Amino acid sequence: MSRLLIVLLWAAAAVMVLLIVSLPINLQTHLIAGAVVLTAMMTLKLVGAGGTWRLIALALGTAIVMRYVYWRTTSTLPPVSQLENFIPGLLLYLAEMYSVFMLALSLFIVAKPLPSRPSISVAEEDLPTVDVFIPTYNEEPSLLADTIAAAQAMDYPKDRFTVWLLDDGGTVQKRNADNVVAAQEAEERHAELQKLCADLGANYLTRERNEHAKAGNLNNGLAHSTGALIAVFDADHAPARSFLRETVGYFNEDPKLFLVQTPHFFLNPDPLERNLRTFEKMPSENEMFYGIIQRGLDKWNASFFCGSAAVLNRKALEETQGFSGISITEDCETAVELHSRGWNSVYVDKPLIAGLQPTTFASFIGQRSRWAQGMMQILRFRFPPLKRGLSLPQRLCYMSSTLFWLFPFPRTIFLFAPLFYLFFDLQIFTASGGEFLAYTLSYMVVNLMMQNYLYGNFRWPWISELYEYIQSVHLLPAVVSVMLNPRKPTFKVTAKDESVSTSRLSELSRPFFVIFAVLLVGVAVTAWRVYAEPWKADVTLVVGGWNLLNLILAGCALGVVSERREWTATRRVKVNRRCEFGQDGQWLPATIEDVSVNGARVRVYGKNVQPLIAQGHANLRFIPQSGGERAMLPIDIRNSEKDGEGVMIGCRYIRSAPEHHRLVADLIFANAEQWTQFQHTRRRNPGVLLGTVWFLRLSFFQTWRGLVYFMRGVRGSQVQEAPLPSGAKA
Amino acid sequence: MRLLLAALLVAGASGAAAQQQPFDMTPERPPVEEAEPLPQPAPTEDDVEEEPEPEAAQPVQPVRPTQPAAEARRQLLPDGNLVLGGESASRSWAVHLTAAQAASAATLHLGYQNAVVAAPESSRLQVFINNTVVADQAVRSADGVASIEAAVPPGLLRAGRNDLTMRVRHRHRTDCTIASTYELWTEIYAAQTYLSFSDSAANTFVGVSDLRALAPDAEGRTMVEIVAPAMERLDMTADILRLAQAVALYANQTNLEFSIASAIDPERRDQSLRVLLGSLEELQMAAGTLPPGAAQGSVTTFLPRNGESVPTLVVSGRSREEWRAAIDQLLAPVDRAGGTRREALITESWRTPNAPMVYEQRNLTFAELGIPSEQFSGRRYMRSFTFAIPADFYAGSYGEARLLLDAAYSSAVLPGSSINVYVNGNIAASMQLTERRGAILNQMPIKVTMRHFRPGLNEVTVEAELLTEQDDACLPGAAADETPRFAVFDTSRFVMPDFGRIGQYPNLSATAGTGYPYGLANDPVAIVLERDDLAGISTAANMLARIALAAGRTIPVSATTSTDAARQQDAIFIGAINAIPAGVLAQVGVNEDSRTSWTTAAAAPAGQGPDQASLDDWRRQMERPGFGDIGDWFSRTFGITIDMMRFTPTDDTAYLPSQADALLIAQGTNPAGNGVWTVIAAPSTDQLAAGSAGLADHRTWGQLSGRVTTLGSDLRTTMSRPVASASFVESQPPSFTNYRLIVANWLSANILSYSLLLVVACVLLGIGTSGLLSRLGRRR
Repeated sequence: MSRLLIVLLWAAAAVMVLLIVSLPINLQTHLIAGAVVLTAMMTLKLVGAGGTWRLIALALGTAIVMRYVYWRTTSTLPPVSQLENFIPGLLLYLAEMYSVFMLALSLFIVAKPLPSRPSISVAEEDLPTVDVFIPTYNEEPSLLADTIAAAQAMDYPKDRFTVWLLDDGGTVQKRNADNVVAAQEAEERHAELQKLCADLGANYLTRERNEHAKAGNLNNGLAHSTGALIAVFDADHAPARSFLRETVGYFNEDPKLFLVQTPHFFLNPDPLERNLRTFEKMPSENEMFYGIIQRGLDKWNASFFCGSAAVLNRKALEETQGFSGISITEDCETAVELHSRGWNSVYVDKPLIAGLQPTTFASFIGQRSRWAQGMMQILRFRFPPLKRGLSLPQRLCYMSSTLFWLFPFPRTIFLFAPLFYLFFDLQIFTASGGEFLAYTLSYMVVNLMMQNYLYGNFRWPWISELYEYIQSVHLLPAVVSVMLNPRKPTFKVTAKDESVSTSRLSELSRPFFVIFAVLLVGVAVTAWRVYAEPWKADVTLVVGGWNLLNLILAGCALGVVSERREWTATRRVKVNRRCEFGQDGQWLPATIEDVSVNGARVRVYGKNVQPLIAQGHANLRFIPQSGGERAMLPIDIRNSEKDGEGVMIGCRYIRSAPEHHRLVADLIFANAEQWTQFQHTRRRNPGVLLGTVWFLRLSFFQTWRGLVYFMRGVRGSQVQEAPLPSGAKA
Repeated sequence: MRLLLAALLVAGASGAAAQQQPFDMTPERPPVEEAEPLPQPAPTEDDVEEEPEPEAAQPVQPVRPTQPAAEARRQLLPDGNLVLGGESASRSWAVHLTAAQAASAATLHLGYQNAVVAAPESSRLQVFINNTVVADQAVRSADGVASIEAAVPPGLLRAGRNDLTMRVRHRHRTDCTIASTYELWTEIYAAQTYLSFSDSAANTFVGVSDLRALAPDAEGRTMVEIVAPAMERLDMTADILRLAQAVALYANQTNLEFSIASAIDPERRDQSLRVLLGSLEELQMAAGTLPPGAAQGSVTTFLPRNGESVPTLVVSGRSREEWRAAIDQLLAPVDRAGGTRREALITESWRTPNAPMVYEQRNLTFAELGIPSEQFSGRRYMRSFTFAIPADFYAGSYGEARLLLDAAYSSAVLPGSSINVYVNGNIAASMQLTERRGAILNQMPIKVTMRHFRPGLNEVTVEAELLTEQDDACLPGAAADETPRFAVFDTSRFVMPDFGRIGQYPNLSATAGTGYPYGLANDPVAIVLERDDLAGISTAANMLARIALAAGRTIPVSATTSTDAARQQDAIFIGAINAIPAGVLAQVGVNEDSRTSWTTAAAAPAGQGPDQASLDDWRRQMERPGFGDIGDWFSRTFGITIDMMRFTPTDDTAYLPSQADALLIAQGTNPAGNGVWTVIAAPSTDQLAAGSAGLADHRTWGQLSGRVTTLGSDLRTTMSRPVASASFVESQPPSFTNYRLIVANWLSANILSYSLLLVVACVLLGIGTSGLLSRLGRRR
């Protein structure tokens, strides 16, 4: 009853706002209202008001956005009689309306995200049996060894869980391939991994044919196992010790639960973070998704499976005959299907795995293309908005998740729209300079403020636009192709273990330089037209300003596609753990300061350090967090320096036995807390103004860096080509 | 596509073959008319008697009013001398003629003078009657008034309505700038412009319908005298006012001026019409002979014409009932029942076409509005049209109408040229012509703010200012070049959207525009004036005639001297300021002190004039706001001023008329709050009579606005006090869309209220959302 009442009251308030917003008031009234609303939003943000105040601020912002939509719809479209203006004008309008629609969906999803869930402790005897699946295709055995070791080290009764390595790189089909070399490699891989699994106590499983890619592989695992729950880890996603303890409890609470998803935490930067050097200080791209959007989805029981770092219910999967494989994003597709059958999902907002993400821009784009194409396939084949069985909020949530990937279209339109005016003198937006300023500026500022309100700690200003832009250039053709041929795309495994050894331009960088050049010409045309056609300088300036904004984005993107040489392959994690350093009964006290996947930094105390260092290799001895005996990890010493009372040593692990992988995994992956802490150091909100200033500076620098790389590339190719003629002569 | 067309246009313009019609458009367009579009060439062009050319520039002797007595005359200009300015100007209006006038052989006489700078070889004056050229000559009379005489082709004139058009085309002798086009004019003199009829009896009015043929005098006034011999005995005020309205509806003249008398003044000759009202007996005593048959009962008829005497209409009967019935009979053909809609506001006696009434969303093509397709080779093209909106118009603060312009300009036109739109003389929109290669504008929208719209008649002027390199160079003869640069097509449209409608008290412009709210009355409106106040009754007659014309119907009135009777109804108070009943001035927002301070004795003292220097004014003028240029730019771009920043209208103080004011018209709600009181007052009865004549001028009448309007001692200049807070009166059936527009207008006028409302609604929505979200979905 009270619920109905509150729905009615809310509806009344919403209708009231709608009516007020759609009044055809004059420009002055809108301008003042915009200023008042902005002031109110700023005040609320400055005093840090949360809870209901946050929703009031969002309502205020929404009102201005709706006013913009009203104005844009009623008074700015070019007349149909001028088709050359009307068609691009309509496209721009649709692009803007798409953005507004996505904003509305986001508002719905993240209006009040669920707070982080408390841990659920389960009595030891109630713990369900779990099969841990690690699907692999072409990953290096040493990488797999770390993951398997970490999985095996999970804090869970040994008799209740089994780790399965699901190898699709050593299938019968692969081993019998026509290509002899490939077949040979598959055979070797098959044998090596079998041995590795045996050594680490995991089960190795492969299958006849590589059908249905990852989904097929997982289904094969399902068919060969019996555990009540399935945990899935990508080959490069190593779980923390607490992973199962933190997740399985929810299945006891809700028998209709099919999924507990946890965030993906990455130890290495993505190309943007690496090339822009923001990894250490700015929240990662996926933190917006895992830090807030998944929590928002969780509120509406719409948190979906992201392919890894999740626990699923076998009963639920049996209902759908395993994982769905129509699309190339089997994870989300499976979740849609199960949600529609009345199963529930839960999201645990705590990084419990650490993994790797694509290093190079090309593989980053490859991964995103798969996501975008897969989501388009889901939209095409499952069409969540009309899927029977989904609740209304779930439909909206899936709509947001899938429609999001249409962003290359509006992004492209926003990029080129100003050029229509600057180059071809088309009037695709009929408004005076003053109107444009009053409505568009208030809309843009309010939009930035709302984004900041919603995602401030997780996404800095203009970074979303930058990510969208760098992806759009290559995603647009990918999305168009999947629209034309929805069944064509196939699952391609994303390479994540590449490294960049020399500074160079990405192989996908060319379009970015072309676009930058075109926009730069746009700026020149702006200047010329302001000078040569003073009678329409106001419109030219406004459009030129828009183009300039695009240029700043495009300039920043030049930095993204200029790959920096990589200094450390993966991020170092601070651990601060007691150990002993030495060899053969000669042991010195030491602390492990930080660790990475490949090595560690150790501070050694005591007098007789130098002789040990001189040997070039030694051992670390420490008690694993999983308990048990003190264990020994052999290391190569790479460097050392005197540091106060001790000596700081940089070392590299020597993983010669399976046991060593277990120890490395214990050092890096055992403690999930350290990842949370690291994330929190990056989560701060610079605010719209400071964030914008920061972005501008970043962009100037990156533009310059991109151009330097470009010049170097041009010169480099000249140098390479130069010897050729002489060689021909000779 | 536009580019392509423009390119074709350029190509076409340079090709000799296409030179005839450079603006030829796609086939669906009507063919472009040439600059002289009127279709029927004069069948008897040879008859046009032009003056001998060499003497044309000679000053012509002023035409004396008394010409050979065998000739009857009918003045043609409705509003005094007519000035046609600019490079191309045209005026059309309707002239009603009696059957005798139409049947008689007629000659057009026209006296004009023009600006010295108008080049005679490329400037022309044309007169059309019923779309036939009657006179067409070079404009060549800069030194004095030239007269034109032209025989009107027999059969061209019709009994009843005839269309008259005067058109000039001017080109400057030496200058090619846009500014120079303002120096071009031709003035047509009312006194020398008339039709003369060979039938000396042509002007005799025979039937009542001949009242329509009533003509203005040389000043453009139409004086009507109503003589009611019995008015000293009887209270005839209401009947007189009713009769005045009836005459006004027949003779819908520009400046109708009534005077009321109780006896015929045989000396007076300046009236166009005399109306005798009363019983047969009384009239016989006053006027002598009455027409035969007058003794039968109710009678409305003209006295036989007696030489040069004033046409005299007798409205009479054997008893009061019978002459009252006679007024009713007179009214029957011209009156309109209350509550029926009008198609148009009748303006034809000074301007055709009549202004279409726009009650809601409406599309009007230029063809309907009287602007033909035409092309233009000058620098400043200007055409205007009129339309009318109802009195309960309430969209001035937010509304935007649109012009969808079908036009074209050639490649000769430089960017920086513009099309400007004026509403009632105020700039309302401006559009730059930005194409270097010329362009064809196809239904190009131009937003026209409704800020300057007013109830009743509105005039919209479209002006194109065309810059060309040719004009910059201005070689000899360039000004006269005939190559078209610009064309407007009659398929252009004026689009009025639905607008907010609610009656507002007070609102003098609504009263002036459509007679609101008196024009809607079905119960008598109380006219409160002192008995035997002839000036008061004349003023009332002028005022009611104006209201009747604006409303298109007669207003039932009752005359009273007491305020009490008027407390509950619409009323009009007329008199010297001292004679206005107590309490009324306060009700209409006029300071009671004006009874003593606003007296005749103090005639506009020196120093009160507008030339008086004030230190404060100068300071205000010199000081710029602290923002400097940015603030300037801001208020220019967005039109925001400090006084717009308000939550609700501020209350206004009572108005105290100044010594320079000759007449005051103030409006307010009645004490019951259900009607409108209007006060017309002057310092003295004499000044009331003088001011009343001023009020009869249609231009002055059109200036009424706000809650108080005063008329200066020159009876021309007006000053208005805007309405601060109006009471609203529902004028339409309740509808959501109308309420929405009304609210939009109120909030657009009270800007801060909108912000407040929006914030409050958003706070409620935020709280509601918070409540909803804590009940919907998962909570933990």
